[in-house]
Amino acid sequence: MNRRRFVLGLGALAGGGAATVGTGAFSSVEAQRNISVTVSDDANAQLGIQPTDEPSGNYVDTTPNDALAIDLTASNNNVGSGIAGGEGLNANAITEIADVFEIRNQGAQTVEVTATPLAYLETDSGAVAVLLVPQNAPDLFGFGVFYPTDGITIKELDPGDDIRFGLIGLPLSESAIDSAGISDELAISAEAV
Amino acid sequence: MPNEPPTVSDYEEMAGVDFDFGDDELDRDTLNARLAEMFDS
Repeated sequence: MNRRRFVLGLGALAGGGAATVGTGAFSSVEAQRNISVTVSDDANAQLGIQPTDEPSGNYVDTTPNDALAIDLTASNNNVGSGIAGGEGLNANAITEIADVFEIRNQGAQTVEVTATPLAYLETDSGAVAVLLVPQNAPDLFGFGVFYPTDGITIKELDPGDDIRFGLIGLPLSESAIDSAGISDELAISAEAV
Repeated sequence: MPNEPPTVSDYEEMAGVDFDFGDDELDRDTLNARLAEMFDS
C-alpha cells in the first residue's frame, strides 16, 4: 500500500496528489497530499494525479518534493506564465474553475477510488470555503459515483479512465479579504476491485 | 446517489457545518446549479 497526500493551499486552495507504486499490477494505493504542497512524480504513477491539459491546469503547481498542489495564491510558480496574476478568490462571489486536475487509472486493474474531503472551510478570520467538484462523472455512469459523508467514491475506475475535478470557491464575507485562507490536504486512495 | 451531482447539502454534510450565505448574491439554488453544471462538463 502506498500513501499520497494532496495539499490545499490558501488565499485559495491547493490540491496535490500522486501515487507511487512498483511495476506490474497494483492492488491498492492510498495517498495523502497537502493542498498547496507535495507528492512525487504523480503523473506517471499507477494512480496518476496530474493537472489537466486545460489552462486551469496551471493552478496545479509542483512542490519542492515533486508533489502536486492546487495553489491559488501568489506563490504558484505558474503566475506570470499561464496565470496572469490572480492571487485569490473574489469576495461575495462564486469562483468556478473547471478542469483543474485529474485522477487517472494508469494501472492494469479496475480500482475503486476514494478522494476525501471535498469541502474545505476556514471560518476563524472570515468565512471562506473551497469545494472540489467531480467532473465528467456522468461518463462513469454504470460504475457508480457516491458521496459518502467525507468525500467521493468512484466504485470502478477502469485502466485508462480518469475523473477530472474542478473547484468552486466561496469567500462568504468581505471580512475574508486578505485574512482568510485554506491550507489543507486531500487524501486519495485506490484499491483493486 | 450515484452519478448525480453533489449538492450544497452534500458538502455541508461533508464539512459538518451549514453554510451561511448571508448575502443575497450567494444563494443555495445558484450554487446547486453551478455544481450541476460543472459535474456535467
